[in-house]
Amino acid sequence: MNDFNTVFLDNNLEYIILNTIELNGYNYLILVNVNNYKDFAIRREENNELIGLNNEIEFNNVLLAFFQKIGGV
Amino acid sequence: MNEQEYKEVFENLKKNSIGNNKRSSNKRSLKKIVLNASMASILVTFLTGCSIGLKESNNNDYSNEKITEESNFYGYGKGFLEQSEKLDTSNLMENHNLTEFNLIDGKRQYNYSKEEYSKIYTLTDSYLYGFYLLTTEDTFNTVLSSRGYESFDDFLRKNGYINSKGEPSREMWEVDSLNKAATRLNNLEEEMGYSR
Repeated sequence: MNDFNTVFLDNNLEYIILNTIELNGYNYLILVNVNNYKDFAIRREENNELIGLNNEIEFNNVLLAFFQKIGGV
Repeated sequence: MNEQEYKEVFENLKKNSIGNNKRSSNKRSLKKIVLNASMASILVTFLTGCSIGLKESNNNDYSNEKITEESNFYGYGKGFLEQSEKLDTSNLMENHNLTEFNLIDGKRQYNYSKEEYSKIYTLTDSYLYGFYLLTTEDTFNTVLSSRGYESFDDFLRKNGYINSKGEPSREMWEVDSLNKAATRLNNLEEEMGYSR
């Protein structure tokens, strides 16, 4: 049993914060559903809110930043 | 998991993530949770889903071209296993708050001492392949010394990676490390109930 930070998203499901990424002045959260380890989501932190990403470009940029952070790729 | 399942993970992630009408509170709770899978295997699922999904949707180069190639290691590709090993090593360092590094030619240069690596009690020889892939030669040599080896050749000799000419063999170690990584992942996926 481990301690995890969790949040509830707009779909009322609880997600564990797997990782955080700083990009272009924003913090992004990589999340996994507490009850389904194939259900992931990304959110941008803004003014105490978690907000979905604007478009596919932002989505791809966050993933690329994540790859660089964890894999040195 | 097969490639189709990973694609579904990616498509679900994309659907869940894009849309600025998705708004919720950033209120966090610290909870004790029993995971039915290791954190590493969850991250590997995420990483692989993203690799496959991005490659298909954007035809971008995320250095994972080999994921579907060379699937000789219990069905896993060499590139996938290498990413997984790097991820495990990266997590090991992060879990011990050893997070400062510079990137040199795409590899991590950690400037921690041999003594600092020695304090990581979970750092066993099984992590050396991950360090070999993820970090610079300098860092790798420091980690080797923290494990009591005088050099890379010393490590190879002491662990029996010797070719027919009696010389230390990096290739034998690499193949053995990939096989061990594949076995570990296979076991993890079985524990998670994934069929392959």
